[in-house]
Amino acid sequence: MRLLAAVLAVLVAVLVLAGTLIPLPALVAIRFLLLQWGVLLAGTAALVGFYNLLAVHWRNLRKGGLQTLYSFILLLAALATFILVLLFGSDSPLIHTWLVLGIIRPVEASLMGLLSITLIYALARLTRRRLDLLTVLFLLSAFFFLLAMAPLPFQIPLLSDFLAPWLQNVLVTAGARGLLLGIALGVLTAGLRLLLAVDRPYGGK
Amino acid sequence: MNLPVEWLNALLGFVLTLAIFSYLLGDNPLFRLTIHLFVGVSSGYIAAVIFRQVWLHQLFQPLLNPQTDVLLRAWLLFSLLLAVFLLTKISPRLGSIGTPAAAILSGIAAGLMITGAVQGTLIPQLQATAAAFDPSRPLDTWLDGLILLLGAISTLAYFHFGADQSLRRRWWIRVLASSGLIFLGLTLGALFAALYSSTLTALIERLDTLISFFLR
Amino acid sequence: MDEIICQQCGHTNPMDAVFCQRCGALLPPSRPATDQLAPTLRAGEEPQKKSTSELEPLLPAWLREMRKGEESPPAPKEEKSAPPPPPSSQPSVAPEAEEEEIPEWLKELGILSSGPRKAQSVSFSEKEGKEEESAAPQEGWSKDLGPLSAPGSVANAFETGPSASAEPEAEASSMLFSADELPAWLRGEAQSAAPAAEEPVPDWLKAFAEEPPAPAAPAQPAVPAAEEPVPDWLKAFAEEPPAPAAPAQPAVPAAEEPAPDWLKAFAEETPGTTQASQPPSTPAVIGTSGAGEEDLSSLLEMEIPDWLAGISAEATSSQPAAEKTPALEAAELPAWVQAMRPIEAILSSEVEGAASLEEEKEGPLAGLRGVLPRAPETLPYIRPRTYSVRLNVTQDHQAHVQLLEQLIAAESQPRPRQATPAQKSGLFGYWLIAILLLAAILLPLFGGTQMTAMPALTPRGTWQFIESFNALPASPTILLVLDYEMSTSGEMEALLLPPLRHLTSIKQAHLAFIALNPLMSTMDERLLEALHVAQPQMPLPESVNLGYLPGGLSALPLFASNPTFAASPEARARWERSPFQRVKTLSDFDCVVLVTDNAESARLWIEQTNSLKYNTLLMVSSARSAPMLSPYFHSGQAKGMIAGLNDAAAYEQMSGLSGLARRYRDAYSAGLLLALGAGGIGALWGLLIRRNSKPQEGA
Repeated sequence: MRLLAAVLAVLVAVLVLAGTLIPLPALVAIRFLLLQWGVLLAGTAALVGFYNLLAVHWRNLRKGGLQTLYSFILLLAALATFILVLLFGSDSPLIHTWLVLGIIRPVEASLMGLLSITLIYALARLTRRRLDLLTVLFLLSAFFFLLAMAPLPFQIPLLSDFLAPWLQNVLVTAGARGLLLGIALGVLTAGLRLLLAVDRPYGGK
Repeated sequence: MNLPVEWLNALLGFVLTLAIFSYLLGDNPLFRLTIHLFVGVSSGYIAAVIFRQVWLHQLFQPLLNPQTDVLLRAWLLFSLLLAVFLLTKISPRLGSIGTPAAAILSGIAAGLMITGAVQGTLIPQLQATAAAFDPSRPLDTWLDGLILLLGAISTLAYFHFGADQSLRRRWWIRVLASSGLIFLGLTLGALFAALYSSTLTALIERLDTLISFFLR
Repeated sequence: MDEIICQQCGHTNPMDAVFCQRCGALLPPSRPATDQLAPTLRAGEEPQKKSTSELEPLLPAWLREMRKGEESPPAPKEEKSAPPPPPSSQPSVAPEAEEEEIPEWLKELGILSSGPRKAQSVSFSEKEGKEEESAAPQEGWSKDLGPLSAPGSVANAFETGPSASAEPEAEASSMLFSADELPAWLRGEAQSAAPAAEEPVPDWLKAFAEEPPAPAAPAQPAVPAAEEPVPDWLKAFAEEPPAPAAPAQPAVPAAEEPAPDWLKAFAEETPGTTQASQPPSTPAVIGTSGAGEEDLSSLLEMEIPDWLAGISAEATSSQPAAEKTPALEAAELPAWVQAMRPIEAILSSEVEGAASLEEEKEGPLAGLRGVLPRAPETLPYIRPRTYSVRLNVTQDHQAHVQLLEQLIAAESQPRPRQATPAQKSGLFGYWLIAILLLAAILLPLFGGTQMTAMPALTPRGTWQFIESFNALPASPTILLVLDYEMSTSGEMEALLLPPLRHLTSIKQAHLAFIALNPLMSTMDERLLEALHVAQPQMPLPESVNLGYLPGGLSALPLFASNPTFAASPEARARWERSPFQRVKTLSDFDCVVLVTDNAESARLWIEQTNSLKYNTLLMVSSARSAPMLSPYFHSGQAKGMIAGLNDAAAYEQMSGLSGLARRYRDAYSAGLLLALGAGGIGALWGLLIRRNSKPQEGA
């Protein structure tokens, strides 16, 4: 089974690569079919994750106390939402108004807003935890860009028109480009390792 | 939208927002209840949308459609079988059955990632870095380009970690890594400021919604 | 050949040498006499009777000398033949005159022939002087010698056959040891007669002095009469029936076969009994004597060396029925044996409970305590003590078990965290920051202030974004890719509305929505509703919602080649009726606007669709992903980019519109400045704390 999985992974990767690089109709068609399989399997993987979430909280029901109530609320909400969306569809006004705009959006946005307070608190306590070159550079850069981004009642042309844009477009972009190149090289390496069956994240030695 | 419905919807949002903000006073059952409710609703919604889009629309509906030709039907059955194999990953005992399906998914991702990383990021970014030294461009752009090039290379050098940690990096890599630390620190500070900006905007929007609810 | 080659060193030795003259190794018994030896005795076979004289070549040299010493004046030992063996193995007994039946040398040792013999005690060390063992009655192990426990019985046991009838007395002449030096057990009957009564013969020794079935010879099983308890192990052998005892003793030859000389000496000498008729018994089969006397005699029916045969049963003959076994006399030890003896003082003092230990009454170790392991008088079968498997659980154990169970149960339960003073002060700071930030935001929002100035310069990305929109055809087909979370929906709406308003105001655009996030699949309605709210006088643009694009990375190339592959049937139907019907691939769109707050998913979109070279890609990015997406803008892969609320405000400024960006600007500024101030103060405070703590650490 492990050998079969490895052979399949390599074969599929080679076919997808060939279909992308070699514009032959047959290869393009095979690539198209394989990508459809990818859509189906990715969606199925998401369903597996959903089942796992339910299973965990199903087991939590036996713990007792408030955790049982929490898990019960979660299970009830998940199953009810799943059934309602299946029945009525996601574009139903009922679903969109009460579930998406009424529950999901306020909670998610509030959590994001709460994060801003935590970020300020963390920034204030940074020097107590560690103090090195990277920390100092980080603090200076953060203070600078906070000041540059903050709309002021008055204009500071040197800051807003020259310094901030240059720092943003040159220094920050340079660092970001380096990060992107590193990410791309890492992705390329990971893909090649999977292509050569060195890495087998799907299970198997 | 009816006003009562809109008002009730706003009220629901208001209550849930306050429940989340109650975390400022410390962890409490109201906050936990709200979080669990949110997780349940969002996970159920996402699972249902995926099930409809993938299994219903792309698999079962064409399969049950009498106008579907035999070849396509066979192809759909085989796809269904693959999906069922992947579902066996739920069970630890039967999880090995889903390994071939997971392998196919991994192979597809690998094939796409390789071409995407090369064609979408590596080549364009390297071209952009080299384009800064175009002779037709003014000299100040050369300075910017040099800084961009130095920043990109030094940032990469900073993350150069060999397999053998006992070996000391070469001296010129260490020099580059030190300068990469400067670029990295500046970039991380900018990222922090940008993240705070985004979260601040979300907080402003939430508070604006609360005010709008009260003012109505 | 009359030489023997040592196997260790290869030195040639005389034939009669026992030990190598060079290295002292034991030489192989490659002697002519051995050829005449009977082969290895097997079970069921009866040994062939041999004369002990045949075995004389096997004897050590010193022993042979002792045997020959009687013939000649004190002759020096045959050292040339063999070196003196270790003292432990060689009693330096001078050879005695060889007798016809009993070797003289043995006689000199006090080994007597049949009949009343004189047991001559031989002292093993002239230098040490005589040492007469106390004639203490035999006790302990010596009592177990059985028939041999009587001093005379020993001599009888070792008595040779023909010589049993007449045993010349040992002549103490030219002996290395005087008769007085001989141990009591080696002395003749005369000396042992007296102590015979006093020194009972050990039971095991009695076994050698087996009497014939004649009633005169008392039946002496291994266990003597009731006077002395017989060990169980000895009883076991005594329980064998007489009949099988005979065949059980392969050493017992047939009665018609003449017994070897040395074996005859083991036959118990009894008045009137013919030793010759008695098969010699073997001393090695001690304990196998059955209940009957014939068993004992059969025991002794083995070849006994001559020297051993000389030990007569003199004491036995004069011994009454084995009702009372005299103990052995205390041996007179030569000096070298005495030197080997454990020191009484040490033993008596070091041995714990020495006083409670048994004192040896006879033998070389007489008078010593705790020297020999106590031979149990009886060997009862001691049943091992059975221990109960039930645990003896005390109250302490139960308390420990309960504590352990509580600890295990507490592992799965969350423990309330007790806030430390530092955490309490941190919590105060957290609340302070929260209060200040909420106040800084609520005040401008409530007041509707517009104190902050709008950006004077338009960022390049925003400028190019506007330019790209202006360059679109009159009825552009625009694809809006919604790739953000609900958490940033407020910000994204604030960023997206100005371009949409600008687009709808200048163009008759046709919008197609596609969501890369399931939650965004219905957000087109909200955006259109917000657009309508912002400019109610403007008609809404025609739009088609393609829904959610499932599959993530795999779906992007499929979507690029067929934008409706994941759309619902209703959406497809609507697509066909709209101006989008001419759009077959992604490159057919006039413009693609990527609305994202996730740098990773935006990177995937750009990488997978970059090869298609579609016309225009514009990005509306959240502030948090803008730094990581700016390289794509600077590399030309994206033609325009709106990042953050400031760019949205600049867009509004440029387009002459007023929207959320303007509304949020004051609060946004206050929040940023508060973060700057709080962060700066906190950083300085941390530096001060570090500085103050360092001298204290150094002190």
